[in-house]
Amino acid sequence: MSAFSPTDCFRLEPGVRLRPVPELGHCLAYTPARPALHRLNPSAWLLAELADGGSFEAIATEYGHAVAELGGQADLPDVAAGLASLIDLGIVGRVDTHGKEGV
Amino acid sequence: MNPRLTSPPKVAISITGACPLSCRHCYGDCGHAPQDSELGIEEWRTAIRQLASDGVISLHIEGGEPLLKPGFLGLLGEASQSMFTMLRTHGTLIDAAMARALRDNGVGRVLVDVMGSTAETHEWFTQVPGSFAASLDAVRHLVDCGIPTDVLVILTRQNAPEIQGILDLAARLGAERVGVLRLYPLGRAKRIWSTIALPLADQMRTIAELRPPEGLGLMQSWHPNNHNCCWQSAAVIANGDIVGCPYLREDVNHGNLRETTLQQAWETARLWRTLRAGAVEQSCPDCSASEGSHGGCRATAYAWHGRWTAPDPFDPILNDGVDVSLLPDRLLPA
Repeated sequence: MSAFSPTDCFRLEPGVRLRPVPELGHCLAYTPARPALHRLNPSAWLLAELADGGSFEAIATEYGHAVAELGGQADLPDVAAGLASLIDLGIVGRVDTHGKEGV
Repeated sequence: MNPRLTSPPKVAISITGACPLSCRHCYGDCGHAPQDSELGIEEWRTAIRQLASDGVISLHIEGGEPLLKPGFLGLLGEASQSMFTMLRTHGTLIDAAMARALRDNGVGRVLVDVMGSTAETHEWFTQVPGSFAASLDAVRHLVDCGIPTDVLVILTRQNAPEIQGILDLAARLGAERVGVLRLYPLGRAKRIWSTIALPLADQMRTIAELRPPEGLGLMQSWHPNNHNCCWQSAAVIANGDIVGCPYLREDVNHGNLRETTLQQAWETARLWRTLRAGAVEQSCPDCSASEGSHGGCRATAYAWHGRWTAPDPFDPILNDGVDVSLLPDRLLPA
């Protein structure tokens, strides 16, 4: 069971910078609020790119389409776990639909 | 062949050649005052904005002593908004207030150099009484501020018996990791090489006998971790010369930041492209495993053999009878 509702929205935390390194198949993510450099695997990289303020449902749908194009299958728990990891690292945050930001 | 990057994600800069210490082994031949040729702080700020714009996301800042650069904290604060910043320092200028200022300006990690586990050994190198206690205090202040802090030590004949002691000391101080670095034939280290350099077998034995205390990370670049980092290395020294790697500063110059950008040099400098490609005559199979690089460090390979494709004599698999405690004739001081 997902920790998120379908209407929860997500976006990159303020100031977070993504630096794709496609030659090595990963993306570096810098979190200035908690200074750290993280190496994202392709799944986490895709989720970070999709977190543009859209809902969990929309992100999961787009993620599923992208994975399907590669011949794979994405489960909702995988998407939720991936987003939860990005939130823990300070890369992605939940958008407060009542006007306040933050998780 | 090595991995190929279209632009460097990580860059190292030596922001000044000024330093309050007088280390016998100083690679940069630093003095107490900066040289006239150094980039000014505004030139550095402009260059760092360009680096960020060109995709650099990790900036390693060293010296000399970076904290002696006028305007350094402002530069750090600006750089840390877009790049993970690491500061390498002797720590002698870091009191509690400076540690807080570094934290407040967003530093990501600080690396503090020590040269022994005792004041006697450390200060034999630095030639400044009290510098050992000051460096240890710096580690305490940084840790107290919650800044991830590493201790670095360059392995020499004098401190080899104390490396385990440095690990134990660093753990007690709250450092996260200790990096044991190999000695390079650069600057003043060249002039006292036979006094401070260890034979390779003694280096390997010292590393093998280390037992990091629980919770302390150990970084070392000897076999089987001897990488050829050139494929991803990008560095600029205090006068703006682009040298690829700080350890290549005496042998290469890919251009100067006053005349070009690092990205332009990355794309066009022929020697840099050659070094990044990673063509070597011999490669250690064990050391190739983790990064896909080949042949070991190019700086020491070139220093001893005078060929960019030569094997690295600091790797026992590639050493081929070279005594690295003796400098090759071409590097002997005049």
